[in-house]
Amino acid sequence: MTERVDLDRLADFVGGALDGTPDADAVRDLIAGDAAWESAYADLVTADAAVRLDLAEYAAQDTRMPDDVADRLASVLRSPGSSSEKATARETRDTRRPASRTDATRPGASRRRARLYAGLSAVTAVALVAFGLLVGLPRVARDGIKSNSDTAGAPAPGGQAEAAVDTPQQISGRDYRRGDFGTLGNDANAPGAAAARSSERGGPNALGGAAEQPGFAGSTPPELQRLLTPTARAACIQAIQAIHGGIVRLVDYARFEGRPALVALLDGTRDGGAGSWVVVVGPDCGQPTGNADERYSGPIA
Amino acid sequence: MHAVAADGRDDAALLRAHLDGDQEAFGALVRRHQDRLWALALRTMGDREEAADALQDAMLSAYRAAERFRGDSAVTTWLHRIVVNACLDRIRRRQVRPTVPLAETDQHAAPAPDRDTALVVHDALRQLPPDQRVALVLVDLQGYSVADAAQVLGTAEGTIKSRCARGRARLAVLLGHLRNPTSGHNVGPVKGKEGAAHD
Repeated sequence: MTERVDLDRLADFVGGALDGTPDADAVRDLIAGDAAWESAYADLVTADAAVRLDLAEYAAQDTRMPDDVADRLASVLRSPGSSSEKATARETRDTRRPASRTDATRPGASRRRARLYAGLSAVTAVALVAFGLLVGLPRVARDGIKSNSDTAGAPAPGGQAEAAVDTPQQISGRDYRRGDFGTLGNDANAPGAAAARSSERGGPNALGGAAEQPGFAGSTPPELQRLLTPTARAACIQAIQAIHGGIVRLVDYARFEGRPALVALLDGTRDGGAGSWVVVVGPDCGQPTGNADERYSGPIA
Repeated sequence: MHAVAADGRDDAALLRAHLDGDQEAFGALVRRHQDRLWALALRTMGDREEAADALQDAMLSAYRAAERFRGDSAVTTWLHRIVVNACLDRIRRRQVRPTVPLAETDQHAAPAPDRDTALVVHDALRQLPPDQRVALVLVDLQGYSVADAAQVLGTAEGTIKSRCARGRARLAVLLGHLRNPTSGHNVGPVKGKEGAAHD
């Protein structure tokens, strides 16, 4: 009986990915005993060689960093906490021109400038939190949203500032969908009410409390356990802010479209300007590479 | 291995100097590797502006995360990993994010290749699932060994081999070296399928 040719499996065989596995022998047998597999194998080997030649030609192209990109990068790294880091290519449009002159003379400059100024840099935000200067940031540990005030300002292992862990957190157990984050805004604006719902119905809760979605069993999904530690959470928040700027008002250990996710509500981001902005990140957020493992970002409504 | 003419310190020394407050050290480190990091970002993103933004994200992340560098890999491997992750972050965001066209957007052409083949390959690479594209960029374009690519991507060598092999097979179809095996083969249409996971 013939088996339908599976190109991925055949590619794995040709590429050596099956070496040393029983499946390598199975594919070898198919090639030896099935005309369709034999033909597909011969075709793929020939095509693979041709692709490698094409890739080699493509690899020979000049990919030195253009001067404008190098200049922009150097500028950002000279003052990583300044607004210049927010001057992404899409915002400055023509990176070969100095951003200051470009923005000042083009339509839409004031809007972009407002967005740039609205977004506090991650470094600035972290520093502000560290020194307790964020007036109005809810610290409501007793109200159902935990605030790690006990760790604020204390140096973290490895010397990393833990200021960012002062951000209020909750485990709502919700499964958020894009365009449906209004409840998160409510939690941030009325933490007391969130706590009341939590105690009455097992809804949004402080860390370690009950949750209303099946599968959470009153605790954070296993995939997000790492992000419960202050250092990991701080790294994650820094990674989010490095991309979006702004200030994180609340993080929710939850799900996004069925998958475990940390859902952050921010104000003053580059994209959201004066409005609230939601950033959804995955379990690898803030891993040693410092990236966000972002799954979604958009306005709260 | 790396030129140290402009700054006699090696990569690790530059990173340490950065942590010690040397304001020039991190910039010197980036300058030393900027062409390879740019090539990685450009080939992974397939778009000049997206690549520039991803690289900026990555270098800012590296700047801030330097103290978490554990030294269990070369500094350049660490930097490559950060760039890859920044690119993948952007690709994921592009997939899930509602597209808000900017009226003033002006699309720069992605690289300006000299030959038709390069253009065709460039376009075909953009149609691969990101995981396969990144693996191919590292191994076949950047010249990384499978083992080094596995370290950069934090995955098993077998996974890298598989991603590269499947990526080449898809490229073979896209580039016309292999008949589109829609009847019977499992390659599936790849146009517009960016982001599809295969493993």
